[in-house]
Amino acid sequence: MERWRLIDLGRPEPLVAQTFYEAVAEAVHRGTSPNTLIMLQPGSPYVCLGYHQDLETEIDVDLCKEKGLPVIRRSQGGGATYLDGDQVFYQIVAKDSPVVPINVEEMFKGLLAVTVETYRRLGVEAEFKPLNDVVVGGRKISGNGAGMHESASILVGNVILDLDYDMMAGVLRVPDEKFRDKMAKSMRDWVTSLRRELGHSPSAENVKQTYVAAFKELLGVELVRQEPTETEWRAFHEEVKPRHTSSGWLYMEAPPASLREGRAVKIAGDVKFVEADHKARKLIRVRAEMKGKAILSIQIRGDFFAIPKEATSEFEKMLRGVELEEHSVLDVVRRFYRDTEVQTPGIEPKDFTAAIMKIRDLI
Amino acid sequence: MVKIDGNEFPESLYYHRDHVWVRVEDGKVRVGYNDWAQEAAGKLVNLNTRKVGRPVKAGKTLGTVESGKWVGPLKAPISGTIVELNEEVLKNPSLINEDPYGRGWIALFEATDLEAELKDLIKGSDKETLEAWLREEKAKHGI
Repeated sequence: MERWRLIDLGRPEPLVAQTFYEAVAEAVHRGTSPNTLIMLQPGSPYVCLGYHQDLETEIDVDLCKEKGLPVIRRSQGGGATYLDGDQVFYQIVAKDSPVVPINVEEMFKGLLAVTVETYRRLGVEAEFKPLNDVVVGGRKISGNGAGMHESASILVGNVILDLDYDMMAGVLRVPDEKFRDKMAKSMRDWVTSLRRELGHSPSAENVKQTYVAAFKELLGVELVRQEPTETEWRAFHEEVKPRHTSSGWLYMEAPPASLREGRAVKIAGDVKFVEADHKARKLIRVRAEMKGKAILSIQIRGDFFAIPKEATSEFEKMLRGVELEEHSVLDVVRRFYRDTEVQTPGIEPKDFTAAIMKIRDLI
Repeated sequence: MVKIDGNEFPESLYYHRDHVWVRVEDGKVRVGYNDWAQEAAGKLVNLNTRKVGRPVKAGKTLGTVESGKWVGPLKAPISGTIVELNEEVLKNPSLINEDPYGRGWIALFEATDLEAELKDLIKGSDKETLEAWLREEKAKHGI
């Protein structure tokens, strides 16, 4: 049986909660520390930015300052999130272990089985959804990311006790408050928590113990409780912390892809909330909730005229469920003109098509 | 065109073991991500590179890539100075998935030690070495 180390970091400050495992990964890579499972609960709330995201595009920095929320850029990809003590984090760092396959799909599948089992033991019928989601009734209930530090594999994720949807939506930079309201609604539709599923939330201690027990049983790993080594704390204080607190890291120049025109926020799984502007002779602003390439709901606004004006809401209905393929969208646009006999001075069918197709570049 | 288990490896290119291809063009070299690597990574959503004018050493980091699965390093296959970056790919990295050897190229280098370093790369015409290397990579990544 494999023997691993279990570190319970308790309720550490955000920087430790989000980055200490990098010091562990360095030690595991060098072979000075064994494979490790870290459990913790963030000691206070913070905002976490994806590795390639642009700070000021994604986050309402002023609001974070006002609320005293630190912003930390993680070394892993994905989108910005608000994190707090109503979540239990698991951070798995391993090298050369049969329970942690190198292949990312396999790694998620193998390790997220533990997360699924944890929820089930707590009374929630969770399921694994490839690639890296755990869902209940179609709603996401755990966020997970994977990475590699030299020869060490890393998987980090959370068990969600409770969610503050307003804070989640509140810390993100959005074009306007309407967008924020819709986005918060989309989050409620697609992301859930233990409290919401059970009517109450179990204690963090209970969740940690359940996770640890499931980890041992499912993976066949013996877990020995130990503290981080001095070397790991030193690496944290001398390397990890200075890097993460430098403004060069936090304000890192983002790649152009993250600076695409318009705004896209990932809600859960393949669900995204998107806004795109298209400037024809008039402005067309499209706001949509997307699932993969399919339009779940859409709003078409702008400074154009449509006569009769009710026609645009008809148009929005017609677009529901449509896949973002040029010909499918064009078909709907044509049908819209034909069925409603709408007139749109200065705007042609191809302008609506172009505006809607702009979503595709953002998802 | 060499085809290995469904992935293409054009014969005219050289292949670095960290999955970056090299095309020698009139003294300069164009580089990109190979077909197997783009498929294994999945849809690429972000690509960040060092800037034009920056010197990069072979085997060192040229940039980072992010797919839906993870963030990984992109290694420079040869030493030199970046003279041009593919702005289209920086804006829309999934071009690499669509056309890894064409519109998905990443950077153009002024190489400093081309002849010596080409010897360390795998030639596209050397199908045997390519296959052996790819087999190793697949085993390493559990694919």
